[in-house]
Formats: sequence, structure tokens, C-alpha cells
Amino acid sequence: MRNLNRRHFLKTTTATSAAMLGYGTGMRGAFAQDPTPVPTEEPTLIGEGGTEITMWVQDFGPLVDSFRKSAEAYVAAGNDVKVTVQPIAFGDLLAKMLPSIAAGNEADIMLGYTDWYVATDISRLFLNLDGLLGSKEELESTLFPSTLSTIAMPEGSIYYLPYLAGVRSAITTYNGAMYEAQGIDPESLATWEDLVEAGKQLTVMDGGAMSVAGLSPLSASLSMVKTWIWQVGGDFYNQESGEWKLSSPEGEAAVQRLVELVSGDQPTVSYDLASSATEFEVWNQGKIATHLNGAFTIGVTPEELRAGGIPTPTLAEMVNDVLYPEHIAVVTLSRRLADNDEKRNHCVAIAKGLLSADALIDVTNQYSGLICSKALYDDPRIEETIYGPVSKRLAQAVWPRCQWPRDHVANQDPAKTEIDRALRGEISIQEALSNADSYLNDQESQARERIGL
Amino acid sequence: MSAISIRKVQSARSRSHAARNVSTMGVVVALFLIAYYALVFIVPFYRAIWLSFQNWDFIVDPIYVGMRNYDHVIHDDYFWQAAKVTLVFSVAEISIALICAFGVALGIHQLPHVLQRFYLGLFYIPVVVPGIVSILLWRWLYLPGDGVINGVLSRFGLPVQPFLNSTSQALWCIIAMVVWANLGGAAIIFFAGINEISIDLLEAAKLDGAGLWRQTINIIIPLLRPIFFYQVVVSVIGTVQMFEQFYLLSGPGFSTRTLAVYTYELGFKTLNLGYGATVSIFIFLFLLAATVIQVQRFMTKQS
Repeated sequence: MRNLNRRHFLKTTTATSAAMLGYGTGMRGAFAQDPTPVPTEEPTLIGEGGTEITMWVQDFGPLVDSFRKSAEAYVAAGNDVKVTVQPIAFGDLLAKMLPSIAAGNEADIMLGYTDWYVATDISRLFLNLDGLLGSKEELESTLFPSTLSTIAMPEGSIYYLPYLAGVRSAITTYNGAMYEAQGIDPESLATWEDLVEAGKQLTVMDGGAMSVAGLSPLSASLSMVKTWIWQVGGDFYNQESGEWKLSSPEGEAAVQRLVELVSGDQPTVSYDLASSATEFEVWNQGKIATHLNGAFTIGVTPEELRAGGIPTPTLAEMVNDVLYPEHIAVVTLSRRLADNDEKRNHCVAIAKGLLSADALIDVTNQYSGLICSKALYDDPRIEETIYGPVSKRLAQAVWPRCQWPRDHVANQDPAKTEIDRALRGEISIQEALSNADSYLNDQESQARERIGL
Repeated sequence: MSAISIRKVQSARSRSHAARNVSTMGVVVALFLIAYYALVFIVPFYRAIWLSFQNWDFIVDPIYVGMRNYDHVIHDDYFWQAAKVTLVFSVAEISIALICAFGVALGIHQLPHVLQRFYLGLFYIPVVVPGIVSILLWRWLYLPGDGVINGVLSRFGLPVQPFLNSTSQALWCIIAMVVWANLGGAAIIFFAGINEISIDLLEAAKLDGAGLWRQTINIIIPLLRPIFFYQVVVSVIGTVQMFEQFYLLSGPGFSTRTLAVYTYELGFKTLNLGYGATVSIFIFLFLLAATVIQVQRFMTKQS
């Protein structure tokens, strides 16, 4: 065998490295279709007027467009304002929202999610909207009433305007192409058990490894546990005492249902294929037939998958027909506007524009999630937009059945992780639920201490 | 004049001389630096200590809770779990990174001058790549199913791996990424250190029959001890405070939740800033202890 001298070693390693790199990247041509993270967009300035207004919105295309168009329409109507629309990534928006409010430099109009605000006193976060956008009764007549009850509001006042929601766990999203190939009509799946059977049929094993997951509940695991506890007549949170209790026969049965999907006799999802964090990417690769990540995913899925949605089927043993859709996106106004009548009036008018039928109908050309406005779906124009019909069908089926615990724990990820650990077999179901209860009760009691409950 | 009187006069002259040499500009600059240091470090640090005795969420008035947060940390399983992940990451990353960086520096040192520049530049590229780009690149490489690394593995008939989907692999995936990203910087420091070693010393060792291995063990490593010490201290602080890599390449469950990530979650997601501040105080104490131990060990060996 020839000795490997330095020159030969270098030539060999360089050639091997180049070959490996080319080999690895060359065969990944299809990856160009995968979603590519892009930097947060630059703010848009609209108008040249004397009153400066800032809007913060999550950097999700349909939302940004809607905020921009509402500002443009308001400026075009001859109002003396200069509006800055600032798109901000979801995590960044969450991280900066409360510190900015505390520092008094938050935007005038903000988009956020209800579960961000539950661990503090919402009356100290945002402008009280009582009377500014009509009475509570008027709002309840134009909105789905359940969307006004997601957070416990001091003295029944209104501090946020329900906007739209992806409703994770309340909606089941399916890969239409796969369902059709298997001859399964998703609309015919009446119960959760039917959905599981369909998931088993759609699961594809390839040499001992799962190559297609028929049904993945991974991103919605904790929400499904809550939903199922309610559906069989149990409860997991006491609004009066603030006590969490997922550890119950109903809770254990709920987690057991999820465990069956991961490690039962005929699993429908594998952690080797997807996790809660990567579920959406794997779905977009056409390797998940059904998931519970929310209706918004229908509009951002590659067309060839022909994604569709149905309200998540209830358990066969259901006694309460309820669904738990995690959170909703809401529009809020800065408390600082209370001292500036002129600016407040401009902001209220822009917010009204955002929630007008015209603006929301336009949103459904890009957004497939649920809109909180009941009146919107009575407008015949909704049938002509791209996602209007599916949004209407799902909203009318889901919103009236939605229920919220109105708890005070802002970050429930650790509880979800405990469920995830049970699904992976790291810990027992009982231990997972006990750990989740321990965390939730600890955070709940500290939040209640802060709020003064 | 007595000896004592002479010393008193000399001492007075010295003080007077020192006073005359004090530069006004120097005092201004020093005061500015002290003010800056106080503003960006001392004030926030004492604020964090104050906060660790409160229950606060940015919005409501802080509520004094005494030692409750400290007592809570001691009994918090999530805290100790995050501490364990941090410890494993730090020990593994620092060990692997130091060995690799030293090996690369030693290897490059053996090359002709032209190739030395080329390879140093090559290894330094990841250091100048923005962190977020590196992280997203590796996230792409680690994708389950159709990821690049799994593509290569399957082409060679090897089983595909879940990587970031796996509780047992995710942390090691991040370690590999961090080692790759920081290798060039550490290698250059080692390379500079090796270049500082007297060629006469190495030539003498060669004449005595010492090969590269013996030279490395008996000459190069002992003489590079200050550099190893510096790298370890800086790396301990850097790895314990590391955040973006864990936030953006997070693995399942608590497998990649370090103390830095836990602190962030407590403060900005859970809105429990008081407890988050308490955890950050513990991180500071851990780092202080680790640094003091390292310094003491180094001083002992030096003496």
C-alpha cells in the first residue's frame, strides 16, 4: 500500500469534500420549493399627514396586506395621518409587546394573540374600547360571541377586537390528494375514531420506517387533551380557585389516545418523521396526510397537495360538543391614546376599517383561517374569494362550539412538552400529567398574585 | 537629615509629581468609562438582584416575595434539567472544539506558507458568516426525511437519522454546528501560539529524535497552556450564555433547553420576570465559580 504523503492527503481530502458537497446539494433540487425564512420586511410609510400612527402586525403576508390596505384606504379618504405599518416576526412581536407597553413606546394599533395577555391585568395593557366601537351587545351581534370571551375581562369591558384565528386543534387539515388516492372522503369522518381509522389507512411504512404519517396530532397535543377532557364531561381548570387538574381519568384517557397514535399497534405518526416543531415542514413535503395545526395552513400549503379542512371530529363518547381553539389574533389599541382624542379617533377609524366587511373579505383571498366576524359570512361576496367558502364553512361549524378555560398561564409550552415526553415513552402518562399540573398551578398562582385575584 | 525625614520628603515629592502628571482628559475618559460601565453593567446587575425578590410581569406593580424565588430554584426540576443540558453542552462543545481547533492549527502549521493562508481562510469562513445564516443552514442540513445529511446517508446505504426530532441527537446536532461555526476563530489563536514557539526548540527536539507526536505532547501543548486557559474560560462563558442556536435549532422536549433559554422563556413568554431574574443570578454564580476555579488551577500550575 502506497504511503499517504501530505500532497496526496490534501488532494484526496479536498476532492472528497467537494464531491460530498456537490453530492449533497445536487440531489436536493426539490428543496427549492420548501419555505425559506426571509428577513422581516421593512416598515411601510403611508400618507404624509400631521398625525403619526404606528401599526405592528405579525409578518404573515395576508395580515400585513390587510393592515397596509386599511391604512391606505384611510389615507386615501383624505385623513391627515402618516401611518407606519411595521411587520414583525411572531416571536419578536411576542417578546417586545409587553416590555414596550411597560416602557410606553408600543405601537398605536397592534396585532397580538389572546394567550399572550392572560398572565397579567389586561386593563393595564390596552385602551378600554367600551363604546368606541359600539356597545358590547352590538359587538356580540356582529361577532361570534365566543370570540369575545377568550380572556377574563375586568368588569366585562372590551380591551381587544377579535380579528381572526388559525384554530389549532379545532380544525383537521387533510392532504386532499392522499385522501382521494385512498378513496376516503374526509367529510364522511364523523368521529375521532373514524379519523384515526382513516389515518391508519393513509400511513405508509417503507422498510420498517414510516414514510407517510396518516394522522399527526403532535402540534396540538395539549389542546387535544383539554378538548377531550371537556368532551367527555370533565374539566381541567377551575376559574374560581385557579386550580389546574389535568391528572384525572379523563386526562389519562386523552393522553392514552395520543400515545396510541405514536406507539400503538398501528401508529399513524412517528417521531423519526416529524415532531411538533417540524410537523408543518414535513406536511409541506407531502409526508403527512392529516394534521391538527390549524385552518390557516390550508392557504400556505403547496397547491398540489390540495389541502382542505374539516372541524375536528368529536369523540364517539362525547357528551359535550365543544372545541378548544387555543387562541385568536386580536387587534388592540395603545392606552396612551386615552390622552389624545384626535389620534384616538384616527386609530379607532383605522381599526374599524381593518374589521370592515370589505377588508375581511379581501383577507380571505389569501387567508384560509377563521374570521371572527359573524356578519362577514352573511355577505354573498365571501363565496367568490379563494378561501372564503372554506373559511365560512369552518367558522360557522366551529365558533359556536368553542370554549375557553379563561386561565392565567401565558406560556403553556412546558405542559405540552410533558405530554410530548409521555408520547415518546420517556415518562408515564400519570407523571406527565402530574408534571404539567405542577407547572400550570405554579404559574397560575403567581399570575393570580400579580393580577390580585 | 534623618533617613525617615528623607523618605518623607521623597514621598511628598512623588505625590506632587503624580498630581502634576494627572491628565484632565484622562480623568474625563476614565469617568466616562466608569459611567458607561455602571450604566450597562452595574445598574442592570443590581436591578436584576432586586428583581429576583419580586413577582413582576412588566405591567403590574412588582410584588415583594422575599426569598421565595431562590427557594423555588432549589426545588425546580426544570431549572436543574436545564442546568444539566447546559453542563453537558459546555463540557462536550469545549472539549471537542479545543481538540479540533488545536488539531487544525497544528495541521495547518505543517503546511507550506501559501497553503497555510488558504486553509486558515477556509476554516475562518464560518466565523464571518452571520450567526442566523449558519443556524438556518444547519437546520436545512438536519431536516428529517429530505435533509442534505440524510440524503448523503441514504445514498451510502446508511439509515436516515431524525437529528433535531430526536431527544438523544438534538443536543449533539447543535454541538456539531457550534464547533463548526467557531472552529476557525479558535484555530487561528492556536496557530498564532504555535508560531510563537521557538523554532530552535522544535529543531533541537527533532535532532533528539522527537517526532511530531512527542513535540506536541512535550513542547507545544505545555507552551500553549495560557492559550488553552484563555480558550476554556472564554468558551465556558460563551457556551453558558449561548441562546440563538438553542432557540432556533431547538430539539424536542427539554432536550436542548439550556439555562439561557429557560431564563428567556420565564421572562418573555411566561411573564415571570422575577423568577427569570433569579435564574439569571444563579447562572452568574455558576460562571463566577467556574472562572475562579479555572484561574486557581492555572495559577497553581504556573507557579
